[in-house]
Amino acid sequence: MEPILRAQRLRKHYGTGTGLVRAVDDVDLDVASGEALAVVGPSGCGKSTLLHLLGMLDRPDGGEIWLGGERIDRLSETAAARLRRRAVGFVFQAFHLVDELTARENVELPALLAGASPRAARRRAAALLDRVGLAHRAGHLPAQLSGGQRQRVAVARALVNDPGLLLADEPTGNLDTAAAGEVLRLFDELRAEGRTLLIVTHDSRIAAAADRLITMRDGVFVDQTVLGRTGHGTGLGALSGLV
Amino acid sequence: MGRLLLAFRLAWRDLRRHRAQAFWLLVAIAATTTTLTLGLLVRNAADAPWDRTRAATAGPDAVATASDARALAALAKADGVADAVRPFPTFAVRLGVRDVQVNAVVQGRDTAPSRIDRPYVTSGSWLRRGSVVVERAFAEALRVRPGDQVTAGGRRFTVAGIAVTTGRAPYPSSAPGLIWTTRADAARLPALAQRRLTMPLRLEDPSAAPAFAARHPGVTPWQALSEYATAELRLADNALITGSWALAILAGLCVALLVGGRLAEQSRRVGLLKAAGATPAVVALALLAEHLFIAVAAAVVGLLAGWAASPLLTGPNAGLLASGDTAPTFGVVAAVLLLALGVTATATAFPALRGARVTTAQALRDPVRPPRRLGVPSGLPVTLLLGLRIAARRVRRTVLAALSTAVTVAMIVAALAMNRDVARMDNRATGPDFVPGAGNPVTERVSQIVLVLAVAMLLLAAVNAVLTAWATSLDTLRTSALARALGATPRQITSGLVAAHMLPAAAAAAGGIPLGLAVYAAARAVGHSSASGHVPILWLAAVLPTALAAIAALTAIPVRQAATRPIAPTLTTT
Repeated sequence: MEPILRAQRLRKHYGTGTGLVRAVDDVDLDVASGEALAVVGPSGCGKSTLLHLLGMLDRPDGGEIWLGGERIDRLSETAAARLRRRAVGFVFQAFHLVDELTARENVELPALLAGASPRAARRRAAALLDRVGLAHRAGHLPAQLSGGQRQRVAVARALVNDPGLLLADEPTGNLDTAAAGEVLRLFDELRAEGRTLLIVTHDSRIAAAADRLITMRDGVFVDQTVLGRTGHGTGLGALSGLV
Repeated sequence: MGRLLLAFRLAWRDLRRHRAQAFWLLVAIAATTTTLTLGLLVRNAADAPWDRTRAATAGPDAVATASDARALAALAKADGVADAVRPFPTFAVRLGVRDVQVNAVVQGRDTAPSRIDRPYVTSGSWLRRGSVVVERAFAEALRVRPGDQVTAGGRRFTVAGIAVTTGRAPYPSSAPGLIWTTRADAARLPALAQRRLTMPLRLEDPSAAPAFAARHPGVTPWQALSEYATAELRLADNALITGSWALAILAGLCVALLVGGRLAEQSRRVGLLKAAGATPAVVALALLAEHLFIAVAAAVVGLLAGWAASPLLTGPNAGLLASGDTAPTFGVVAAVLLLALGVTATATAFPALRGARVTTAQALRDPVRPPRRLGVPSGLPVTLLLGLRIAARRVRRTVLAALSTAVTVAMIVAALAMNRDVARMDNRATGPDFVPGAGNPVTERVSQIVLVLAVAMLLLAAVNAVLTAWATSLDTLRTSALARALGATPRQITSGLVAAHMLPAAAAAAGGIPLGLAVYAAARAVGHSSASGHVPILWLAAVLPTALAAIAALTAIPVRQAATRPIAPTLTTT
């Protein structure tokens, strides 16, 4: 089956000479549609850089990236932005909600940018906030929400344009145990729906529930493990009781 | 002492790191100090050419004009008169120079020097039979030199010399222009109107000349002549001083915007300093020291530039003798230094103290202040909504930027009104008493000053617009990067932020128009000017879109630059 996301000899280096850091060093990666892939490794191993490159948030120094059959590593800023808004959803460790916008407006934002009518964007945002259990907090600013609530808003925002690929960078990294459990349950639902997930984490307990686990160190993949579908009720969300 | 040293060391390092910002700040303050220096030097020099010329020409304390010789003879013996000379016949003739015909006032003079009102010959020689001497400003307008041939009342004369006088204001402040010829030649010339007699007087108390003139009809005190003769310097001085105030306001706004932006950029640095033990006072002192250093440098630049440029403005018109050196006095230096330091300290103090008061944790955590209220309704285009929400969080900056726009538009409108009045003055200076095609040195000089002030103000306004946009783009780095990560294009981000800038700018520019008309009306009232101050409505209508287009273009530069920064590094570092 044609992978939804493919990277070939992907490379990103920082610095020069003795200060050279090989954040991502000639990495090859295929992600199948509907697959839940976890990338683990110690801090500074290049996980987040890989995610940024795959999501067109940063430009590689070499190699190719293909998304849905389209080469994306050489897209202009504008073309990359247009592709991101319809094809990729992001969830960040630091939530990265727009401070100036309410929870509902944050969720509406990608839909409006993608050209949805205000009414349609509002309807979709309301439905997603309801799904993540935050319908009653729709009018609140991020500063008025807890960490777990902010991350659930971020998940709703990532889904509003129904993207084919969801990229998550340490989605539970800034959360306490209870909040992490709420978010993991959401990811479990998404996986069960057959969404393509690529989650960067250094929490091996979260990674264990993915279809495939990649271990990264010093910018290269050092291990790949196919875990397979764990079955209903024992996915990522099942771990919420453990963390 | 150690803290002071630390503050200065931090200030110096920061200056070296932000050379471009330091340069623009220097430009903004130096524009103001240069203008003030010029204004003060012109003010100091305004009376000097008149005084020098009066001394060189044995200038009269008062000048009496009458058609009856007996009346003048009686006046010569009046109380308060110390000396008087034989009256000079004075009348208008038609003067021909090459193909130019213009009215002129002829004074019949002795070939020997007069005790009072003795014209000072600057080129050529004094009168001999068959010759004329031409007042210097009139000669410049006519472009005549000693040796040229002219006709007066149909008779040919040779120009013997060019001279200055304080017995009559120079052309074109007094029109027609003045020529001297011998009494004998004057007696033979046909007058265009009634012949009169002019008698210069020496008074026992020259300072009481206005009172003497009030008691005796037909007498003009030297003070009135001086006022006419130095009118253009006084107009220039008024324009420069008014312009200095406007520029000082703009420079103050410029400093405030720059410091505010710098704090937004350096929030984390402030946090680190405080975490390392720096007190709020040290943090504030570092910022203050940095800007005061620039202010002193700008004051020096302004003093030198103003002094260098002053001969262009302090040089008298051709009708008076040059006043010589116009070096800045201690008072001028002190005033310029005070302005530069005052404006900078005032504009820096508030944001520096506010920045210093931010808690260490807050400074380290988030460079952006958390929003306190929404202020802007949703339902707008999403990038415009973002821009407006951000502007609503930075009320002080929005107000400063709006003030800058309002002041600039106001001064441009005032300059247009003044330009219009000057053009009207020029239009009135036509007819048989004025040399066709010759410029008016009075209005020309004022126009030049207004142009220079307008350019300086536009420069400062442009710097302010760029600084506002720069500070906003620093504040919005994270939000912009985030919006782009979610699918906003750089163009959408740029247009949203620029559009958000435009709303307060439009209101400020619209308010600047009546403000400018009011400023000019006030200036006319203070100067007892009879000018109308009318500006065509189409000109005013054109000011608004032009100002907004310029602001939009200038704002777009830093905003666009920030909107194209790599997303990932921005999100990971902010």
